[in-house]
Amino acid sequence: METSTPAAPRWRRLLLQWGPFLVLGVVLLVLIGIDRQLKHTDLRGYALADAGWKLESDDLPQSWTQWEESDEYALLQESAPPFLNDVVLSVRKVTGVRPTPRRLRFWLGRAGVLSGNAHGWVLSCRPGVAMRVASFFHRSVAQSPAEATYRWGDVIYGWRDGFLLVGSSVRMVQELAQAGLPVERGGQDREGIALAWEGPHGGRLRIAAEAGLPFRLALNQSTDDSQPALHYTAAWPEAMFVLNAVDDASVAALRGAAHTLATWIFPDTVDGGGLAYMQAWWRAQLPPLPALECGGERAWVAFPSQEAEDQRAIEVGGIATRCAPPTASTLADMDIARRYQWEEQPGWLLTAPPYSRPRAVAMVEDTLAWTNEPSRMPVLLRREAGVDSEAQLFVRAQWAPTMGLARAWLLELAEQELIPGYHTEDLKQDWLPYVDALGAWSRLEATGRFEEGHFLLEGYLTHPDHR
Amino acid sequence: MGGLLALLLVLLSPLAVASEPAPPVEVIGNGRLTAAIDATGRVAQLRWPTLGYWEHMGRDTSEEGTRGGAGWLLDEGEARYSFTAAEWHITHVRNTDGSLTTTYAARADDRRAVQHVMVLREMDVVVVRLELDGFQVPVKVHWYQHIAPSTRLVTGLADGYDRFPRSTGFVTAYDPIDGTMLAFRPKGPGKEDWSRARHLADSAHSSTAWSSFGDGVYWGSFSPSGTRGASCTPIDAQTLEVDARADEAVLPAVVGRAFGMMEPIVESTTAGILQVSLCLAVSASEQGLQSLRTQLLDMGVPRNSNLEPVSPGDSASLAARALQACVDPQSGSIVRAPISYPALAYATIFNTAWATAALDSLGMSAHGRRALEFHRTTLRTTYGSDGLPGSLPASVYSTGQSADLLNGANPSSTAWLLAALWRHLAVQESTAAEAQLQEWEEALRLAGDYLARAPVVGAVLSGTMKPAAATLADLQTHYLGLVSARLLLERLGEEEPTHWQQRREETYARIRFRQLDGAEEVESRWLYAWVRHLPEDAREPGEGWEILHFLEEVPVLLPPTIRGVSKGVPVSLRAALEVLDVPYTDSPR
Repeated sequence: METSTPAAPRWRRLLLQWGPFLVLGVVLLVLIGIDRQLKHTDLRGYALADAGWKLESDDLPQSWTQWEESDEYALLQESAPPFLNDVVLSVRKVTGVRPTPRRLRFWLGRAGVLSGNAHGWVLSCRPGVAMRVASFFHRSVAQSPAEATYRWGDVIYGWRDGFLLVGSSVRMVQELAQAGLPVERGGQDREGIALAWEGPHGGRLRIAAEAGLPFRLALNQSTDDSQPALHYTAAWPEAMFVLNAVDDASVAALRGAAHTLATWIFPDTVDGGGLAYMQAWWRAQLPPLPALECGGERAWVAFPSQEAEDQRAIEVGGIATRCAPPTASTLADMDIARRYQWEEQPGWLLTAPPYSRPRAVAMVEDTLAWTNEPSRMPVLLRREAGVDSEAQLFVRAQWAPTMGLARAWLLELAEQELIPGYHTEDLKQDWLPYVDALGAWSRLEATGRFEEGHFLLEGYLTHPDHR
Repeated sequence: MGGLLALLLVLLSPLAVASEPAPPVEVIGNGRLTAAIDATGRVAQLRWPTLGYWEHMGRDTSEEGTRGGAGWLLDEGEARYSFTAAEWHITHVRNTDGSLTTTYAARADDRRAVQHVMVLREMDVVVVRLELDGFQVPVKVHWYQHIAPSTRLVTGLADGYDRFPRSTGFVTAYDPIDGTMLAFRPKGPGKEDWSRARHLADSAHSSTAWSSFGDGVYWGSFSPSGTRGASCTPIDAQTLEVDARADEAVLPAVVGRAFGMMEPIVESTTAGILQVSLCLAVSASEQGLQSLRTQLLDMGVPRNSNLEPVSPGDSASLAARALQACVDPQSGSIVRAPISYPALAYATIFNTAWATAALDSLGMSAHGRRALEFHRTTLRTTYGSDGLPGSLPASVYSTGQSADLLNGANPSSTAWLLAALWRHLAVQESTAAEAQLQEWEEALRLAGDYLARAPVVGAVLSGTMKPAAATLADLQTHYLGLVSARLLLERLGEEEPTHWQQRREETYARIRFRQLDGAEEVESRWLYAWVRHLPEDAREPGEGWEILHFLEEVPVLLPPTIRGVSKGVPVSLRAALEVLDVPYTDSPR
């Protein structure tokens, strides 16, 4: 006789069937909650007290994702290998895991601070459950070179107040653990990634991974805030490069920042003579200008060369306003070749022997115009009408011709052995793809002003309105 | 981004002009290896494989405060010191065998030292011998060197080696087995070479390991009496002690640095004089260097054959000697200034024209002839982006490679070449002159055609006010070249071609027109001086010289090297002017 077992209640069957998943889900939810709680912090992390530079972000994974989805990245991808490939590869070699935005968020959290100095670098971030569990097990088997520090491959790590510290040496990790300064989240650099550096031209650069790659550069420069505003920012729309400023302080600030950045990117080339060679080459084309007293606005303009076969050649010129009339002794210093009429305006054509090209100088009322290519003088004199602007500095550069110029110069410097450690072939393989790729962008445009002890330069790396 | 940064830096930066030390006082050499000695007896410059080629000596780096050059450091138990003018009375005597003897007499006591420096005639080796008398024993003698081998000539900045510190040098290594300090650089080292060198340096290989880098420039320093020890160590320029900032202070090999210090064994002579010597050899390969070393040690380091001092002459003979020191024996070119800072070790035809005239007046026409022939070889014979046939680079290394920063053709160079040739031939014995002129015939036609067609003076008369039109000095130089071309052609028994004549007459008219404006005369002084100082029998009336003749003799203005970049005045030009008795000035006022 067949006996039938009483059917288990439906709810019990469902529980037996789905229970493990439910438990898992609850555990997962709890873990996610704990993970979030662990990762939550009001700090980005810690930076070395004597950091020479700092790279920080409130949400690096998100900026990374936005960057990879941006039009600017797509343009670069057309002709260059993926940016940051080397960085990704080296992280993979150390950790065994290829970093992606998702993995970064999972293992290390969102915010982080990377700081460094002449002795090395150290990263601080606020990881969640996964990294802490992994670290718990790893610590039990890992080599400990010093108290509370552990070796993982080539890097050293430790902990401070729930923050993971990963550095290039025990010294760096210990310094951060004992004397690192907290870096708070938020502020004006909430979006994107910020790079700060110390030194005589110290400053802070923030780039957001949004359309046009907006950036904000704040340089430590105290000066009088009440400078007059610019007038000629809209002039010379066809120029490959325009820099317009109202005083020397803003130009000095920009030059200092450019030197610092250039020294980082091309250290041996800048210090080792590449810059001196370029300067000498250009100066030979553009001999010294008359030392006139000009108290107003000034502008530097560059155009691609119309005639020269040499790709390094450019035509440069500029104007300066509120200039005092030249005195007899100033004229004597100018090596005047002859007086000349420029667009029916009185001026001079100057030469500086030996073997240099002529340059043109014109004085119209109190405005001095100069150029190394006399045929450009009418363009300078007939510039478009100026527009008043609140800014005290304006800079604009077309990426395509500027990168063309960079390419020609890099090849020349490599040929002259002025890029230490790089053959021309090395250069073609390692650098030129990126140079060519940047040429696909539209144009950099930014305005600058002094504010509360800083010189601020704000704009777009590749202006979204000029694609 | 890089291009933009460079553009900003180049356009906005003031040009840094490095402060320059006092120029060396003497230059010695064997036609291949040239050493310049500074006022304290230190080796300040080393050029090899010719006078007008690579410079290999690292200079004092004012930024880091490390000592440059090569020389002796002494230690009598207290602080380490070098021979300085403040503490020592220093005199230099040039010997008849070409060597240089430097005598040091202590100002405070009776210590005395004598240094003999010679470059061997047959081998590319500098031998430095130091004799010490009255020193407190034991005295330690160190040889310090900052040799940064170079394997490239930077176009247009031949004088600028100190501006490119990271592009010279490669590896400095000491081999304790054979006691040799090696400093070398292979030709154009790339990424892989640097990486391999770092690996080898870390593995402390012996010097033979470095031969795998192939040809380049290999310097080896060793003492025939042996060495107590050595290190690749920069020292502080002030204290002469090991630079505390040098992390690799005691490493036997370093990559990318060019400092070396060794302690040769001091020997005592029967007369109680201490002596120590050091050989500085150079070769294109590591094997070549080893062979040189073995050869030297086998035969014994040669000593000075004749220490008879050269009697000091009058100013003209000193100028003549300076001029001779500027002649590159291999190429025959006349470099502008091998013993100055900056060392202008390249030739310009303007400089050569004046030097040739001076050499002719000294009865040393063979040198002048070779110098002009050197420039003839640089004359372009085909159309190219760098110029038209008949043009020549404004400045060249002794290899014939252009040293012109802009590498552009300019008619003035061709004009000066023809003017110099005509003047040179005018003072030669006629048979020799005719034979020489035959060799120049093709070059003469090319050059004359170029001057007749060069666009710099090609506009119509009213076009002189156009921006690209020539200056008065350009026109006068052009005219000088055209007149010289015609006179040379006539010596060949031929008539001036019509297009040469038309350009010459047009240029003459243009000069007359421009001379109405007196503002351009300063640059024309060179032309006036050239014509005024032509040999009497070379200046025939009716050639139109009068438009290049200034009634009153005024000093010519010595040209800067590259305006705004460096201020070196060519030694050979100054010497030539002194020989020719042409007044000159450095000041534009």
